[in-house]
Amino acid sequence: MTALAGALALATLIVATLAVDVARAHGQLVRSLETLDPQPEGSTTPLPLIKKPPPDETSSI
Amino acid sequence: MASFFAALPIVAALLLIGAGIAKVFSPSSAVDGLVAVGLSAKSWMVRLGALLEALLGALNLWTASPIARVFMVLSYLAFAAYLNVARTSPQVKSCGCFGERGSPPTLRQIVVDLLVAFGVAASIATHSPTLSHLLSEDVTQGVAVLCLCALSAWLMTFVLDSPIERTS
Repeated sequence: MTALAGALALATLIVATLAVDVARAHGQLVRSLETLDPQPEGSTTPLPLIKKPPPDETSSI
Repeated sequence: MASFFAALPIVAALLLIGAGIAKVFSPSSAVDGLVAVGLSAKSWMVRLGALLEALLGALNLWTASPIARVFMVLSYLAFAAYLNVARTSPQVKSCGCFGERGSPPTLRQIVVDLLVAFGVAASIATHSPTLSHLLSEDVTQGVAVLCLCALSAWLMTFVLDSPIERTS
């Protein structure tokens, strides 16, 4: 019974660690998305993390 | 706490078996990692070491011999030492711990390896039972322990592989 309790405790600890990882990853994702603010009108600064499409693609839009 | 030390050697042994088998089939990442830290390594050497690693894990599942446990402690300490050296080398792209699935060495991996080594060393003092002993004593309980330990070992690979530390 001791080993079973230990195995359960260990599995719980590892799952808790992974849960913390997921929470941190979620936080990082939210912070990354917050940097993708809409571009102010008239601004020529390119949006972060978004590459300018090549000219042939822009002409078709 | 004693119950913790009863399960940890089983998880540590299963991790050794999994990592050993993975490196037997794909040793290239481990070879690259070892070469990057200045050690001369060939594929056959890594395969042989990985085979011994897996056999050591299997031995620790079936016998409670303190010598086998000491070797397991030493192997985890050796992993921690290698990772500590590899962490400072920018050329190491993957530790090669789990074959192709290995990730760049992190402080987390070193800490986990040291904790596992400590836990296995403590299990020698507490005379924790082996998996074969548990299975022979009570099959249902033994199978339950094996399933939980296998799950723990599998989940631990994700803890070791976690990209969180590298990106934060």
